[in-house]
Amino acid sequence: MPVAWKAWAFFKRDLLTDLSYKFSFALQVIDILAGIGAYYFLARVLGKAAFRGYDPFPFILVGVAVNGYMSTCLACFAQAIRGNQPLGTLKMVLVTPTSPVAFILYSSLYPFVRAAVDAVLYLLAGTMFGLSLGRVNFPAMLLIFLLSAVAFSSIGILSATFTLVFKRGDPIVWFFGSLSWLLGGVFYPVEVLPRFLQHASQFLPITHALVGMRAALLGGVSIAQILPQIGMLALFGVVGLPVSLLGFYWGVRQARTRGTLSHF
Amino acid sequence: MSKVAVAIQNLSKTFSAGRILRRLQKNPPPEGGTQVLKGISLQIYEGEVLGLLGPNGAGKTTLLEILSTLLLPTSGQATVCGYDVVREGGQVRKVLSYCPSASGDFYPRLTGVRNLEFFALLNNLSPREAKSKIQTVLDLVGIDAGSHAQFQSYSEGMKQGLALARALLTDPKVLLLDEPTRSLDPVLQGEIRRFLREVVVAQLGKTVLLVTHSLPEAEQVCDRLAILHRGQIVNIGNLEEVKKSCGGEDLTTAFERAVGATPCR
Repeated sequence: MPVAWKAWAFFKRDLLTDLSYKFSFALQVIDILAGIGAYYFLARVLGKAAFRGYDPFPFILVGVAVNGYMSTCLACFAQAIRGNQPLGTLKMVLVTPTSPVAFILYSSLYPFVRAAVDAVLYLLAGTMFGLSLGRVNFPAMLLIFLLSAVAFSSIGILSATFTLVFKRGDPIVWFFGSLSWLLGGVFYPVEVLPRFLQHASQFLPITHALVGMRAALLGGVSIAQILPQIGMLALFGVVGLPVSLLGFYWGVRQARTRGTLSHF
Repeated sequence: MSKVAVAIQNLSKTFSAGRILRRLQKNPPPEGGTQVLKGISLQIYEGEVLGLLGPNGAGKTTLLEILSTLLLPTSGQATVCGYDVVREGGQVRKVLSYCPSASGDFYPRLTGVRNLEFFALLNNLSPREAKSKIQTVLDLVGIDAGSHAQFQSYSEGMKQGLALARALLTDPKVLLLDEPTRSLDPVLQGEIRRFLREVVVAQLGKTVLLVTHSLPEAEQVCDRLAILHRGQIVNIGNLEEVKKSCGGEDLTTAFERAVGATPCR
């Protein structure tokens, strides 16, 4: 049970902190609605042919929702380090019987849930603008969602390691964030890119996450039909997660050796 | 003879930048690094309060951070209740509690109670255990009335009190206290000192390593004193032994002589 209690402790800490900022939720809902409105009118001037057979508005909406989720996964681990260092709480957590890896994983729980809620809000708000979710294949959608979260998180944990060791100027989130935005197919299908960029886009988890998620959410396809995307995302996770956790363990050891755990 | 709770043998700590970092710096630190602890050896017995005195920069906090597993030593060995602080850090963290001198290390937008709940669960207490323990420790440190306000609204004294409450949450065998009465009013200081002596040590049998700059506090609370100066223990013993070894009539004179403010006779 201590594992569940600890996970709950982190989740509750972040939820209560978030709730203590009274206007943040209200402003966020307004922000989402304004964004969706903009995408809706943008989609109206675009043709259907270039969007893999989907209507432009749902295509863009799913792209933006998944990209938002990815951004959280990339940033929340480093944010857990950065947010706790100036407060001095990182040290106080690490003198409890809670391992550094547990700390980084538990710290991501609330941001993950919050980002998932945001993504759902995006889609629900999209229905007010005509988005149809009548063909959703829930098992396929959930599988893609979980596998993408693991794949994105392995990059996010590497970013946290960089923050712990070098403090600022993290190039990892910048690199993956920018490239995913440009090459991942958030606003347009990767097929419109030059051939060499299409190949490059295959090395980004978001490319596969978006193809799979659009197919599951908008196309209603079965799991068998998106096996290539599932396989690629699983590969990113299976290789990336152990590497990033080992890297984080090494980063904590470096900080413990140099006495820089609370430096920022 | 009591059992040894904390054993430190030939412990050294040198802070040095890595090779790459040294190359990047305009004025890099000395190549060998800065040696903060120089082969310290001492033992703290079960149920004892050892006072660690020393001027700023002597290495007191570094020693506490090594014992609490936040820092890795460069060489030497330290054990807490028989567990090695490097190889068995997880076990060490179950048997000790650390109360650092900076009292701001809580989440500012959570209340005192919510902060304590968080740290209690991280220390493997169940939610029910946490609730009853929190009430007990808040009563002990006397900040119950303010515990439902956000931490950021606390006075320095309340912050320090909450830090002490957190250190007592888990019923640890060894307490590492870094200036626990700093910023507290004289009445509360006296209460905390009495509490340490009469409850924590006499009743509960805890072992305490107490870092303090207050010599009266050291005299009042500690069974033995160790004076740390420039990374070395320059004097250790009970109050009379420490005074006698430097020929001081009182602890202040003995301390000044030990750290070189005035020469030992």
